[in-house]
Amino acid sequence: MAPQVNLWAHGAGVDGEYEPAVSDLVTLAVKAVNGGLFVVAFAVMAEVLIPKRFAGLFSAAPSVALANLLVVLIVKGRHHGVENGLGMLVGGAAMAGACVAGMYLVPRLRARRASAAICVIWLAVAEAGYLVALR
Amino acid sequence: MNRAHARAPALPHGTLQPEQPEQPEQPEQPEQPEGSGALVGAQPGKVRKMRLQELAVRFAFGAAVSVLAGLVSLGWGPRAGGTFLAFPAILPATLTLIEKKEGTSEARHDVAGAVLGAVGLTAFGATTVWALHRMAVGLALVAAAASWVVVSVALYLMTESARRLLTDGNGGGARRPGPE
Repeated sequence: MAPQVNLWAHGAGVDGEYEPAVSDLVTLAVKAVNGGLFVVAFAVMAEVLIPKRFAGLFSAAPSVALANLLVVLIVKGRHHGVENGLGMLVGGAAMAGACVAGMYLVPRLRARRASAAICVIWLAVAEAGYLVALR
Repeated sequence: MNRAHARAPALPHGTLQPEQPEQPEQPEQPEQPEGSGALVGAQPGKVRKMRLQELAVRFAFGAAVSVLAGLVSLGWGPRAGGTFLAFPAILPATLTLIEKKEGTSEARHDVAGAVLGAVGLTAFGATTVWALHRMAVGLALVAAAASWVVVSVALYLMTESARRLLTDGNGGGARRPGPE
């Protein structure tokens, strides 16, 4: 059973010691469904928007972040949300760097290979950033 | 009229139809060339052209990245998991589909927009941290989402306006946005 959290009340949220009220497996499953739905919603928005450079903003939309933070804040509380947010600072910077590299790679490697390279670059930059700035 | 007749030129009786080499899928022509027209617009009719399979691929990407972020959070803590909330979840599927439908050039424009969206994603993280200390968690999420919209759209409008101005100044083909 999830703890009763009023998302709109100041001071609400499970603070302090985390007691897993919902099994981690159930939380993961809810995150997965939520993440998938948010990504589809943002992808549909990206599809209808023009020009492509504007639609591209939605390729880096906080879809997974919104979906996961919503669950995290309800189940685990503010502290975990703040920690996730700190991680996102590094992840977002890594995403920007990987996309800059992607502008160079897409015309040269084509989309499929360039996408794989973007993910690898993101992983390397985010990992390095995490080790240097957050650990 | 027979449709096959309408397409193929008539051949003398007994002539074998030359075997057509298999053509690769031609990308659709973009309906509005990049660098022309309005700065921001929408074509709602394109939703109907989306295939269920495309949406399923994106759903799978989103679900997989969410599970990955959750597992990293469980294994290495919420900060490490938080980095994965900014993983390029939408980009790979989108780039591949855009290249297939509209060509590599359009895919490059999409990734250029994603750079600005990623800066907005960092603003989203910063606002989350700031707002969770100061307001209700629901409002904090709304504030974080609003910061992504404001930062990424403002960056887009600034860079795109500057790009069009420079292209016009160099005698490029871009037209200023406005009524025809």
